[in-house]
Amino acid sequence: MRKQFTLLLLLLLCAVWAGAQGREVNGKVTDSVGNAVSAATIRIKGFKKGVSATSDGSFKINVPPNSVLIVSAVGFDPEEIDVSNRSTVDVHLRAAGSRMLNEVVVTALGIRREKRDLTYSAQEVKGETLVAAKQDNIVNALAGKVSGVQVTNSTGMPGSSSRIVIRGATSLVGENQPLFIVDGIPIDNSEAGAIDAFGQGQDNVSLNQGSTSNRGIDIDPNIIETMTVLKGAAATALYGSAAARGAIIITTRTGSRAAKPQLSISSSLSLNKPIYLPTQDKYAQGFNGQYIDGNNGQFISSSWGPLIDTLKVNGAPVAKHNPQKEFFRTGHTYDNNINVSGATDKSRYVFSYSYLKTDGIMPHTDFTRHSVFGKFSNQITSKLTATFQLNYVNSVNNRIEEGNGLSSPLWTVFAAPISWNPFPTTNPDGTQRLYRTGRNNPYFILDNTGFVSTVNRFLPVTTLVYTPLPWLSVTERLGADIYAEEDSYHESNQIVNGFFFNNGGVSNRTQNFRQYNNDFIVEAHKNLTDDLFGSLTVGMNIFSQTSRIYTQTGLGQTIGNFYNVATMSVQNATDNLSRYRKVGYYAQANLEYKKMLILGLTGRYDGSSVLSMSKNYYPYGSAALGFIFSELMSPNTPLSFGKIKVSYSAVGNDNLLPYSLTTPFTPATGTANNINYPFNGQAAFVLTNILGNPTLTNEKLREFEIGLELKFLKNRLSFDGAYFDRKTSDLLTPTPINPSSGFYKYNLNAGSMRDRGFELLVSGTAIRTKDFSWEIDANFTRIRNKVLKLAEGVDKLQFGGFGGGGGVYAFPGLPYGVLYGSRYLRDASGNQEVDDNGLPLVGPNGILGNNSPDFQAGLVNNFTWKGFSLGFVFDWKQGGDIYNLDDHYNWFYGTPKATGDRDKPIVVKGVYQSTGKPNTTPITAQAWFQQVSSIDEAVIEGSTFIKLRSVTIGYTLNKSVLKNAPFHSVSINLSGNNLWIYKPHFSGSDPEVSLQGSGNGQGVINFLTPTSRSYILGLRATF
Amino acid sequence: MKKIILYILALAVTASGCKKYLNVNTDPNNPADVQENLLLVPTETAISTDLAGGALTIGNYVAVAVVTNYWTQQLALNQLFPQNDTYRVRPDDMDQQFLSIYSTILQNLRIMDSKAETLRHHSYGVIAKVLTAYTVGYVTDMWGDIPWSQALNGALHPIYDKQEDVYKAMQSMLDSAIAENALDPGAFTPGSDDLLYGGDMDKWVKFAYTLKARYYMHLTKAPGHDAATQSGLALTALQNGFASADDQALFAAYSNNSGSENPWFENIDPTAGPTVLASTFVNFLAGNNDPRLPTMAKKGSGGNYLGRVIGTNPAPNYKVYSNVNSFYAGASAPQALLNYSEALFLKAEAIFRTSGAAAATPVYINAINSHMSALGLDTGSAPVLAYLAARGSLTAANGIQRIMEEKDIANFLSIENFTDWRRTGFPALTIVQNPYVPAIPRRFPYPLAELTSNPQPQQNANITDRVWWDAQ
Repeated sequence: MRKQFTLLLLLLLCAVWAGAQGREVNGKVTDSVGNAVSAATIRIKGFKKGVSATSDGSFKINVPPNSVLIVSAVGFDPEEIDVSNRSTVDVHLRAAGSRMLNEVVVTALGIRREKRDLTYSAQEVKGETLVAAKQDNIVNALAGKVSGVQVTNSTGMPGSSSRIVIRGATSLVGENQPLFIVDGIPIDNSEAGAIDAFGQGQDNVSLNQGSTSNRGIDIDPNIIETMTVLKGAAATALYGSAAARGAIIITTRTGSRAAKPQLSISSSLSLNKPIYLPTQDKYAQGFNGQYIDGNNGQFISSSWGPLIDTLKVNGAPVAKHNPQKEFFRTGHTYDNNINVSGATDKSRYVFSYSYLKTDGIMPHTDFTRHSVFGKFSNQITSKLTATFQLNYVNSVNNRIEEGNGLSSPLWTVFAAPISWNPFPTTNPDGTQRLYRTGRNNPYFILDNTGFVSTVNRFLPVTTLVYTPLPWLSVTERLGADIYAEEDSYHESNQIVNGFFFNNGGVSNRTQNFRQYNNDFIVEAHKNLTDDLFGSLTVGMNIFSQTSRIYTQTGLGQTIGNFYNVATMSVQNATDNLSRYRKVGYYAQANLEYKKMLILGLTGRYDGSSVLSMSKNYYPYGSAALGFIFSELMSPNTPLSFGKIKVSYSAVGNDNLLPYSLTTPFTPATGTANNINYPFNGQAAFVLTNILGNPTLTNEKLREFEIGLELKFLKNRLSFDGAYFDRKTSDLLTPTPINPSSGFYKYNLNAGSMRDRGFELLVSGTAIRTKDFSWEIDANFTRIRNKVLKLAEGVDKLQFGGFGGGGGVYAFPGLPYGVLYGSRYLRDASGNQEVDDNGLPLVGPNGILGNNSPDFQAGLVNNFTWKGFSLGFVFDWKQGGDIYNLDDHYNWFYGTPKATGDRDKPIVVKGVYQSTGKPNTTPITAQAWFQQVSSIDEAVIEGSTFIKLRSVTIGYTLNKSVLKNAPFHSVSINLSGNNLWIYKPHFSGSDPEVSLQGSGNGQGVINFLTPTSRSYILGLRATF
Repeated sequence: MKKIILYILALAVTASGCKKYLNVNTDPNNPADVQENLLLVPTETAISTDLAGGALTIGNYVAVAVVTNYWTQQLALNQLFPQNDTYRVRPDDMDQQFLSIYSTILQNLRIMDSKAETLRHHSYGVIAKVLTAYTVGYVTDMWGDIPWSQALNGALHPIYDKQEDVYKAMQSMLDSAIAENALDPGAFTPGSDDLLYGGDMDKWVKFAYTLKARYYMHLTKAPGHDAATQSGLALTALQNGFASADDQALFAAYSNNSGSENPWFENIDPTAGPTVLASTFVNFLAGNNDPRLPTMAKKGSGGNYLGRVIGTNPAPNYKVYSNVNSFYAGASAPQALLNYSEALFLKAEAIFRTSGAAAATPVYINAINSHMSALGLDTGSAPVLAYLAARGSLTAANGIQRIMEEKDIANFLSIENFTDWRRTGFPALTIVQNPYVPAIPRRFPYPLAELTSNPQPQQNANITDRVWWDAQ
């Protein structure tokens, strides 16, 4: 059967049962725990028509001799039953995805297609897998599970952002993350970042204050049925420009088909133990072995003092501290969900409420999320079905600043001397008590600063599907993403060199975000001849995004420990409205010949409000061919399925902020250091330092993809691989320009990039007996990126790290994400040069490494034995470098583990700069560490890791055991996350962190909250 | 089938409205045009804060005015070397300073000037030209050849002009400003938006003449120029220059209010360090029993005036060192762009060079006294009289040295001290301990952003190389 139908068409067809012939077969359809599956479709293999099961799952069907029944239902894998010699059958359907046969995948625009027919690469992850990952952030739940996808967590702070990039970077400084779609409606996954109250620019803000949540964190995994990762342009072309970087298609749960309402309750508790930064625990505060007593009013930042064990002050030994252990705590995560779903013959419903609360390992930090989700669908007439759904999310995130800014407590936790007692935090005069100058007591920071972000978000979707004819359907879908994010940061005037220049203050930011999306889609599908099946989709999309961001900053604390903008001595406000609109017309045609050759064509014509008015419409399209060669082979070969797919796509992209075409005047605050305008009652404007460009056009992306899918031994072993080659050009890039132009950046269509890579997925059932099974999934990704070209006259482009200095760059001819900075001085033959005192010298800046990995691999193992299950996920990232600013500072201070080995002098292997002769001058460890700490090259480390990302042990009591109990099933899970990390080259606690959140400047770490090891107990009961 | 046709028609109708639908890319947040007064406030303020005061954007950006004070050994850093005070300054340290100069200051002054010209708002034209000459002079004195004639007029990658040509342009800009002030100021004139002079155009003209004198004197040893001629030109200009301390270019808009503080207050954070006074400066004043020392400097925690010896190991507690007192680094302290004492010292030097020590002495004493008075000291008091008795006479041999030593004190924290040292060798400096380069720097490196995006032959200069007017 050439079934290429949407869910609703399938249902429609089910109702149209005509003709009975031969003998009758009776049966009942149930799920794996014995619940009736209503509205299952039962048809005879080789025939088009079938019957539906009744609400108790029973059915009757007339069959010709030697028939095979195909029983299918949404959410379950179809089952084939030979009824040539049976008149009654009990059919147990297995949940969808538990096998690979005839998997239905949600593709662009919510169109469901059988995976076998796809001509491009798409990988699906089940909702329960995402729930089982026990991650607050849905993006992190994908780590290690999907090929072609790179997920990077930012920090161990609760509510932190996580970055996801599919098939490598395509933009130099613009968005590189995919489009997120929930039930056909695009949703926002941006990261607001810390509040930029003084116009420093968001990159500097993240360096100095750390990151915030990406808004994808609002999505509750409990409401997800499936998540499909559409990787290439061929898969996403229908979405238009927004999905040029891939798409994450989330499909929410639909009410179960069971006649009786199903109630399920789950609850889990997690203990999160910090993974400490390795530090030395032998030497006290001081320098050159001399003790400086920070407990008694002496100041020095370093721990190059004497051994603490024999150290005495006034005859009394000095107490030894463990700054990290004392500062951090065990975090907790409580995750609770209750949901009810059910169906009548005409309608289905689901209702879910989840409550998640994580208390961070840093005191005063937490993340809370309430998520309410309801979905109701009703068959209004036999031809019209309507679905209404609403997801309401309330997220609250309490944070403390991280990163390079001095309001971060980690400066004086990671670098605190072990001889220092941080209490009391203040001196009798109210000033802070600290072992050094210019920083803050970490406990004082906790009590006297804080960032809180509150998000209230509504995601409504209405879908109407009208099916006037069996082969024709019309879908109208209107949805929105509406949220208000209220952020507030406050800081006391006792904080030294903090965000408010020692004045104290509070800064509020409110973002009102509204995004509407409307799709009108007409789908037709018909057998054109006996061998040729065709489908055609045409549609139109209207998209509108409005964001208004207000910031109010009150500077100059007037009342102790009281933070309200109005109580500050000076107020300052900004108001930023941004509007972005798009329209798109699209069409997709699929032709299938003999279920063997599949041709897919897609075209879209997009208009975007942000591009040059004369060039704001642009076309793009894709062509793809699939060849299921196993159809030509004898059914008895070990190869049960084989397909080759080839596609080429040329798409556009408007990766640009609104108002980038003009060069207006902007309020002047931020242009003269601390000066806040209006100043002396005078308003002030300056010409923006970003030169607008009225001629900007869309970026272009061309991608070639070839894939191979193989299934062996009746699908027990499967292989899915793809190779892609994509090139992006005319990249919309705010390009740095020499300041003598009067500008800092210039908006240009400049630069091009290429990504090539392999994605492999191997799945297999190693063992399957009646009671025991062992399933293995392995994925492998290798992506090679190359920046081909930058703008004329630009030899490198920075997008992370400190302006002009050590950081993350793009260089022509090299992969995206070059780490660049100061190097050791070397002579012509590459020997390190030292000065006459034997100290290494700093040379000119150069290339130090690259943040992109050589490859990534994931391994998922699942064992089940009767009601028991055991699963574990390994994640391996090979290669890639990190610019470790923790070492840059802490080596100088003498606190990292490496600095504990300091009793022997060091003779640097190198030559004297003055004479060229081999160096023989010994230097102390302190001299070496302090000298090289400022050489960027010295603190570049490999980020290779292998992680045991999760281990889960579960036990499910099923109905047969629970005969007299009120529930259908009860399951209990014990799991551990991040249990083991192998990181051969990295001296910190976890290489999988990033100072710049989900931004492009990955591979830089600096005073970030450590990640943690989690131990989780979970319970789930269904009634 | 009919329905399908209807749908397609509906699609077509929707499509026709789309051009309008997409027309939302007009920026509602930032104006396309502003009046001159809105540009004057941020440019004057940035000149005072970023250039003269050297507090450069939030964060630890390197500002020229701070670094010149390390190099002239008025200030020091209580940090392990190598640092700015031991002569480590890299091209990327300069990016922010250049951006402030060209993007914030010169770009907006250019716009203000051209608006004023079009609209005949001539007072704004005068101010734009004087401030531009002030800023361009600052840039060329620190870097030598600089982007100027091609900069900011549409050329995104300007070539660098010879310093000699830049100096000519500065003088002619000041002449145009003086001439333009004679024109009808038009309908729109500066007032409270002029944070320097409150719209008093006579004072702007005096400022222009005094600046002319400053720039004439900068060329005392420039190739093709001689000290006597330059001094003569300066003296002529000074006749129309500052007549009293009332005329000086003092930016007095700073206050204790949050977000309004003086730049040196921001640079020299008394709660944090690590910027302190250098021993060279403190010892010189202490050695001469200078009565200004208590007003200019705070004692260290040891109860004495202790300056830091640059390049030595940092003290465990920076508070042992003296630091800048509130007259210069208080939150509400005014910031001088060009003070009255400098005008008098320029005059003293010019007279010394043209008419000799005896003629210069009264102007020299007057100049010292003007600074004493500014600091609130009674010029008739015994300590001041004692000081003048020891320091108040000039001879042919010590004239330039004394004038420069005293000018250095009166121009405390000014970048002019670095220029005067390069020009005259006074006050005498010795190279710091543990220097990062083998000689005292004589210029700044060009910014990295210029090296990358606008390569020019002049960028190969080392920081120990001399600029054009700094001839051997």
